[in-house]
Amino acid sequence: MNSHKRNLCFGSVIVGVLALLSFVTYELSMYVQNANAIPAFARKYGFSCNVCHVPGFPKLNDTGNIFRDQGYQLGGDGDLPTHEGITMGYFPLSFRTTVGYQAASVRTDGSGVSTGGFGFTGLDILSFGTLHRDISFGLVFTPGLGSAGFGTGASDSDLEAAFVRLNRLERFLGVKGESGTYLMNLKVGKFELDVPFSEKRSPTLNTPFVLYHYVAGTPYTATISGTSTSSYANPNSFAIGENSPGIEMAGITKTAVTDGYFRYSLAGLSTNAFSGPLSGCAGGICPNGAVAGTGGQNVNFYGHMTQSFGGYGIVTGQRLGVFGVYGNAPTMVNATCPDCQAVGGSGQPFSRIGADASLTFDGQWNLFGAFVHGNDSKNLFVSQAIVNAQNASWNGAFVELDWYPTQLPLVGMPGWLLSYRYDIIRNDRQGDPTFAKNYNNVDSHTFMARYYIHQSNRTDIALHAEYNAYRTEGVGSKNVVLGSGTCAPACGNLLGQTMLVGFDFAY
Amino acid sequence: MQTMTATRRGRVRVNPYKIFIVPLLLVAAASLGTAPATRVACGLCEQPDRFVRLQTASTDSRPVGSQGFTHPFALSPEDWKSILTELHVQRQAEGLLIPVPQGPVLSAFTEEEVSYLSVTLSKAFAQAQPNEWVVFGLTRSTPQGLTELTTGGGYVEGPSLHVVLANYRKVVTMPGTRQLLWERPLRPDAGPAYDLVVGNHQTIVRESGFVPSLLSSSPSELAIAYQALLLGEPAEASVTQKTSAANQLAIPPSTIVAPPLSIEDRLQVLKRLQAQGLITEDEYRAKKQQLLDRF
Repeated sequence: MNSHKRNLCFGSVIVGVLALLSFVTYELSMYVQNANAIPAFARKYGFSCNVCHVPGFPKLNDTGNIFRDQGYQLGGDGDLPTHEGITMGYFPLSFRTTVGYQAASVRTDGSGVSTGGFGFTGLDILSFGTLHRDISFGLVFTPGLGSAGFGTGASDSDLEAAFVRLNRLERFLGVKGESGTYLMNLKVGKFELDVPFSEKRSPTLNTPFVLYHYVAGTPYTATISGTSTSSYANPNSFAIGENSPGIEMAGITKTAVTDGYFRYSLAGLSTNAFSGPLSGCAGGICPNGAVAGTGGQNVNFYGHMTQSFGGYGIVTGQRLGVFGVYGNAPTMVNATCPDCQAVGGSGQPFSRIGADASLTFDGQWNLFGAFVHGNDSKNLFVSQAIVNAQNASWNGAFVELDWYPTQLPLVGMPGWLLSYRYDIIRNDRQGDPTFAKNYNNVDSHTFMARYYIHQSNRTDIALHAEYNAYRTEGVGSKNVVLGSGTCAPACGNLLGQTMLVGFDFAY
Repeated sequence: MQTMTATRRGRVRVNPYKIFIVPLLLVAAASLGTAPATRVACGLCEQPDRFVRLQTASTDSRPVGSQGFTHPFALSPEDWKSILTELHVQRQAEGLLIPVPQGPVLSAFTEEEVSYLSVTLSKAFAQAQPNEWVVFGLTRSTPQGLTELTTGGGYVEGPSLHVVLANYRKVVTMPGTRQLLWERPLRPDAGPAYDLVVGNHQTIVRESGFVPSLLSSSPSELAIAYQALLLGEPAEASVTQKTSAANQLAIPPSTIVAPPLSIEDRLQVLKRLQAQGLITEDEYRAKKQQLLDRF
């Protein structure tokens, strides 16, 4: 109780600091998303940031999306890195971080964990642009920083994206398109998939799109460590929200009939894990006659197609799309049951198939969302020694409403972005039949307000406030009836909250 | 992926309303401002892709002094054409690591824009009230199909015609941004990339102060001694700043010099100014005598 009072008191102090400085951030480090905003482009072309972004960046508007689809090109000589109009002051390098105050709380099985503090999320060092006409590149480097995540956990150093993109390859096939048509663009390297709505450019910073990251059997918890949860092993770690190494063919073309655009992307993605070797089978002879050996590298396939009407579909017009994944997940060695992997097989199939839609109104409202059905082969769970394993299937969806008013009513202030998103996951069938059907069902509500404090052709800074509340069903580790013992089939829910108030800036 | 460590403290109740509402109210209170009242000056003045209209002073503009502006103000389209062709702009210096000099000096308006503005500004200023700015907005398309906006305004204060370019050749893609600048043409959007350049009989005036400097860029403002300019009198360009001496101007005095008017042209301008009531009969006679003495 005392600690509770101390926390409330602490919260009051924080509110006071907010009131004085507008400088408090409450964020969850674990799910801080690396988001892109690239002021280097603004410097290159002499644009302000809202040429390509809706207010408050990093969400791209129609122009910004088309610019990205065209390989970071407007279509003129100014795209060339050697163009005489580009001054020496331009260098294709941008930095981005968020500073402020973050805190989170999570509660399950009758107890809770919380944390909070000032700090910064991490650092994105971004470089995107053109190497030559119709040859684009992208790099995103996140250095490993011990004090990242608001001082609560070191970040991993990683090259999150590194790719080269060859644009308009249809020219070599004799296909001549109209201006703005980029039919065949080949990207090689590691990159963000053409997900229905980019998470990297989402204005919500500390709340993931759940369906982009959901893994059957692994409790969804945008949470701090230390909470007790139950789970069953699923070797499939593929998530469409994570950058993947691979190769992608994508294109965009105007469609006069709809006064919109047709877009597509087809990607072959390699997993960075291998199946096997199938060790543990004595003499290379495994149960059921399976033969031991190396599993090899697996390849997954991702595709997304959209058709818009009356515009691009983010600021003007409407857009419909379908997307899907088919792949083989590696079945890694299970130390407790080496033979089980051999029974399951080396690479086992999984699929995701979904649809998305984006509706706009008055250039200020954007209602968008996506639905996906996921399925993981039962052999993925067999390999993990789950008795009577079965295919795991689930449905996920989100719907988000963004409002970027020309001016905020009553006060007449421009530069605002207000947003609400609802994420939902509903499981059809668990890979481990001992877990309840509703195990790991998720409901997540996210509110966000963002204000463009300042933007120029050099910099961005936005005041950001975000609140997320979520519930993950049945993932506690204690039996809710007995208060202890085996969790399944009746486990407690996990309830979590995350908050962020801070300054998000890019240079 | 980062992992946050934490100590067990028991349940924490986070009140989202406090966290959100307080800063939002603060920001809102600090930035109160609504679209100013406007009125149409003429039929030609309001077009889909450009406008000239009258607007009461607002938070976007300099406050009107106790005397008000010297409005209404009558100048012929020909005189406006002379003034507008004397307006020049220059891209601001920039550079991330390596300083980059300013761009070349350019005419602020195209011939077509000057033709439109000279007629409409003449009509609008003739109807302007002492508390009203005359504001304008222009658009043009880039070769890439993007739309550039130029907005600004002006007023007359005693012998000076003041001109503000709030936005110059700004690429605008969001419908809301265009609507905003159409409603509030004196509001700079993302800071000016161009500045007005000082020419003959012109003086730079720039408002400065801590808050505007920190959170937004103030557009440059040019004060034009319009009578002297129209008469073609030789004059030295000068640069002044109304406040903060610490805020140094990036624009050096330029050497833009208009070709001198002939004695005949000057007499015609002088006669026009007298006919429009901008100078008194005595001033007209004295100035005319000065010109004839030079002849």
